[in-house]
Amino acid sequence: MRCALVVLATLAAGTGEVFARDPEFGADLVLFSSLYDVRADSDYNPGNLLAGLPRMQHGAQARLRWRMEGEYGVLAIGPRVTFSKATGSNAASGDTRDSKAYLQNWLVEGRFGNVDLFYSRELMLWGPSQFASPSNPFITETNQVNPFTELPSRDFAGARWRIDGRNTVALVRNVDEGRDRELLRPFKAETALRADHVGDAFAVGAVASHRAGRKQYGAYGQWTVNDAVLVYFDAATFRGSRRLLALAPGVAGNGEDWQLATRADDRKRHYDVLLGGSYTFAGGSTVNLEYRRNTEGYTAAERAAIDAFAAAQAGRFRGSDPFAAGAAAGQLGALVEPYARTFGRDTVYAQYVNRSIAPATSLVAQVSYGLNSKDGSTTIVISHDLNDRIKLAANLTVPFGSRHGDTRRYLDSVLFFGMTASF
Amino acid sequence: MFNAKHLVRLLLAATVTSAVTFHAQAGTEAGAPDPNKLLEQSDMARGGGLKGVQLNSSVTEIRDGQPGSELKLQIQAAATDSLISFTEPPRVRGNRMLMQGRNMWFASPDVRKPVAISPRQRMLGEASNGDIATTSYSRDYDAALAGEGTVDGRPVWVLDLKAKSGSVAYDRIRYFIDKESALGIKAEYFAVSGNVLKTARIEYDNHVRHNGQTVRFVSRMEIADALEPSRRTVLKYWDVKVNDISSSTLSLANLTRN
Repeated sequence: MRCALVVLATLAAGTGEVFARDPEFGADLVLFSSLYDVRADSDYNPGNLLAGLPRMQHGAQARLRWRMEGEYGVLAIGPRVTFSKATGSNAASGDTRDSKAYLQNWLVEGRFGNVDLFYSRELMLWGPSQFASPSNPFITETNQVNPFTELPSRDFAGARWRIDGRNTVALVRNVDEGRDRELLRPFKAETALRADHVGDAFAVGAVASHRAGRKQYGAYGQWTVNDAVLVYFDAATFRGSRRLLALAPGVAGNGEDWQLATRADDRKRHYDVLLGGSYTFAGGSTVNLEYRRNTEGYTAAERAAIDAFAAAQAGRFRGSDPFAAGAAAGQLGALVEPYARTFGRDTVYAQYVNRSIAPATSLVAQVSYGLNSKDGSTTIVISHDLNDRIKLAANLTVPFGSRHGDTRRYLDSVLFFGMTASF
Repeated sequence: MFNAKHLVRLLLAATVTSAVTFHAQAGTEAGAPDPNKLLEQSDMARGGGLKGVQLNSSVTEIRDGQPGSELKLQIQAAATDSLISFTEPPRVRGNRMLMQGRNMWFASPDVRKPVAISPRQRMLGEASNGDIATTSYSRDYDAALAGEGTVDGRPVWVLDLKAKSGSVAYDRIRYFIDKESALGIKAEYFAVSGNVLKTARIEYDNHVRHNGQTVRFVSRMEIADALEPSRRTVLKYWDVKVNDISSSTLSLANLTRN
C-alpha cells in the first residue's frame, strides 16, 4: 500500500497537463448514533459476554475523496478519519473510545490505448441485484443500504482491455484483504477473468475465478424491457465448499464432543443463482423482487446441528470451568462467519424505493426472508435533505421470524440515525 | 414527471442537438422534404458529426414562477453513451449516472456498486418534468411530415414522430424543425391518449468549433408540463467543448472508480 501511495503522489505531482479535466474533490462529514437491542438469551453470544456488543455508539467520520481523470489515466484516493464512542452493557462491552485513519479506496490507473492497468483499493462490486452478487468471487453480499456504514474494501491489481465501447475483458487479482480482514482464515489471493458486453437494452457478463485450487464460474445480466421494467440474473457455480459443519459427538468418527469442521472431501458442485426484476411506477417509486437459490446453503439437519452445537458451547461458556469456557468462546466465535454464502438454500428479497415520499424525503424499505430457516430481516431507511449540504437519515433493521435462523442470533434490532454534511 | 432516462436524454438531446448547424437542404429545395432525412439531418445537427462533447449544465425546477431546486451537472457524451456527474449541490456531489444505449446505471459515494435503473426511475429528487428527446430520434422514431408552420415567427417543418418500439419514452412526438437552421426548436410529447403531456422550447446561443467551423449549440431548453403549466424545468448549458471522450470514461467499470 505504501508503494501505491508513493506512486499516487508522484503521479499526482507530475500530472499537470496529462489530465484534461479539473480534479474532483469532495468531503462528507458523517455524524451518527446507533442503538443496539442486543439479544440477551442467545446461545451464540451468551449474555453478550462473547461479542461484547455495545448498547449505544456515537460516531463521527470524515470521508474525503479526490479524483483526477485524463486521457492517460486516473488517480483517486478516498481517506477516512473516524472517531467513535461506545457505551457498553456489561463487563465484555465496556465503554470504549476509538479513533482511526485509513484509506477506504484509492486508484492508480494508466490508460494505454485500449488497455488500462490499475492498482486499487476498492469495493469491486458488480451485478444488477440490489442485495447480492453470486458471480462475484471477491464480494458476494453487496447490500449498501445503510448510509452510515461502508463495506470493507480490498486491494486489487489488474488489466482491462476495452475491445470497443461495449465490450471489455478484464483480468483482476485480489492481492490483499485491504480493509476486509478475515479474522479466522488467512488471506489467499484470488484471480478473476471477466468479460462484459453491453447491448442496446441489455448487458451481460461472465466471470471465471481461481483461489487456492478452487475454481468458480459465474455470469450476470440485465435486460431493460421498457421504461419501467428491468429483469436480471446473477449466478455462479463452484465445486466444494468451505462452510463449517457442526458434527455431533460420535458421528463419523468424531470424538465425544461437538466439532466444527469443513468437509475437505466435498467435491459436490454447487450453484448459487439469483433471479430478479424491478418495476417503476409512474410516480417514480420502484419495487424490486428477487429470489436466490444457493445449493451450498445448510440443510434442515445441518442447521439444527449448528443450533445444537451453539447450545452445547453456550452451556460450557456459562459453566464454572474457565478452560472449557475459553474453548467454547473460540468455537462460538467461529460461528460468526460459517462461510456458507447463505444460511438456508432459498431466500427471497424485496425492496421498495420512493425518492419523493415527502418533500425532499426518500424512503427505502427492504425485506429478506429465508424460506428454509423461516427467518428474515426488515430494514427501513428514511432520509431527508435539510438543505443543499445536509442530509438527515435514519436506518432501522429488525430481524424477525424463527430464532433458529441466522438473523436473530445477536440482535433484536439496531437503529442508526444521524446526518451527513457535504462540502 | 421527470426521471433518470428523461433527464439524461433531455440533457443529451440538448447537448448534441444542433451541435452542428446544417442547413435544411431538403427543405430549401422545392417540394416536400423527406421527413426521415430531415429528422436524420436534425439528429446530425444534434451531434451526429461530433466525436464527443463535454459540457456543464444546470437543471432548475420552477413552480409558480419561483425557482426551486437546482442541480448542476457535468456531461460527457459520445454517440449513444453518456456519463453525467453531479457537481452541485454538495449533497449530490460524487453521484454519477451512466447511459449506454438504453441501459442506465447510477452510483454514488454511498453506493459503490453501479445500480441498474430503469429509465422511468426518478434519481433526481424533486425534478418533476418528463422526457423530451433522445440523442437519436431517427433511431427510435419513424417520421412523417405533418405540414409547415411557424414557431415564434420562424417558419418550421412539422414532423410527426411515431415510436418504433415500446422501449422509448413516448409513443408519439411532434417535432418542429426550423427551416433555415435545421434545428429542432420545439417539441410536443404525447400520451397514449393523444393528449399533449409536455412541450419543450430550445435555444442555441452557444458556439463550438468543429472541423474549423464555428457552429451553433444549444444553450437553453425549457420544458413545460402541459397538465400543470406552472411546473417547468429549465436546462442551461455552457462551457461546451468538442472532445474525444474515451470509451474508458463512458464505461461501467469507470462509474464507481474513486
